[in-house]
Amino acid sequence: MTSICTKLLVVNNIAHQATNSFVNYGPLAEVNATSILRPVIYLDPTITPVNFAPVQQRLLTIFPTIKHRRRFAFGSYDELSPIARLGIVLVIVQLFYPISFDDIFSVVNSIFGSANLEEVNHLISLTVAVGYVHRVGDLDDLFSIDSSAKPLLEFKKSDERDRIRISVIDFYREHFTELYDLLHTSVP
Amino acid sequence: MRVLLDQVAHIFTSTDAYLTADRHLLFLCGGSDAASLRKQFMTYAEVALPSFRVFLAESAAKDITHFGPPTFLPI
Repeated sequence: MTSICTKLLVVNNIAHQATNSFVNYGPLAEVNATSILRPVIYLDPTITPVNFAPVQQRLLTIFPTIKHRRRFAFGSYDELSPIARLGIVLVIVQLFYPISFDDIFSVVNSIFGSANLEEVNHLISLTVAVGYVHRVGDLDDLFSIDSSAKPLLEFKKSDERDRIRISVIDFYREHFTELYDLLHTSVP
Repeated sequence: MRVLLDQVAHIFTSTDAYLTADRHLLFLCGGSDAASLRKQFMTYAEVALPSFRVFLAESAAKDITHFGPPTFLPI
């Protein structure tokens, strides 16, 4: 609970701001004490349209829009930031779709080592939730990239990735015809 | 396959790779009925918070719980 609390931005109905409730004295007091996004923002839902500007300002203050990209520092899986791990998973799905979870994990593990199976599973679920990745195949056990996916990892030169993608397709055609056939039916 | 993996590894180890700095994932919890502020905020955020990808918190949980035993990790 504590680690989640530090990342919570709570937005509540202004009608509840001054009430002596468990929610105010318990969870919200904890958020106000520990969250990097504190304090709780109170909005009036009776005003139309609701003024969400305080929420926007808080988020942009804590997470300012940074124009400059950061160079990706290669390291072992456990040394990478969560956003880098997510970016890696997206790149791998982009290169190998349609690809199973076991194969995503295998590729991550072979390149970065010491990958956490459950965490990679969660990261893939996140990419599905965000809409960057889709489940495909008869059993929904394969993953494919959505054409609208915004990369978290970018590369100056795209030709190397394009060449790898072509090699992957050739590899599927020769060795995994079921994946190759799926390319023609499932790729968005 | 080994050659392919080496090629993939190379794109990560090269100095050519950059992490984008303007992607934030925002899990949105709250009510799910049509009148909920959550739905209104998602519409608002599309324009007001372009560097944030806002999505329903239960969407992530749904995939985890639907495909395998549910486990929760603070990522």
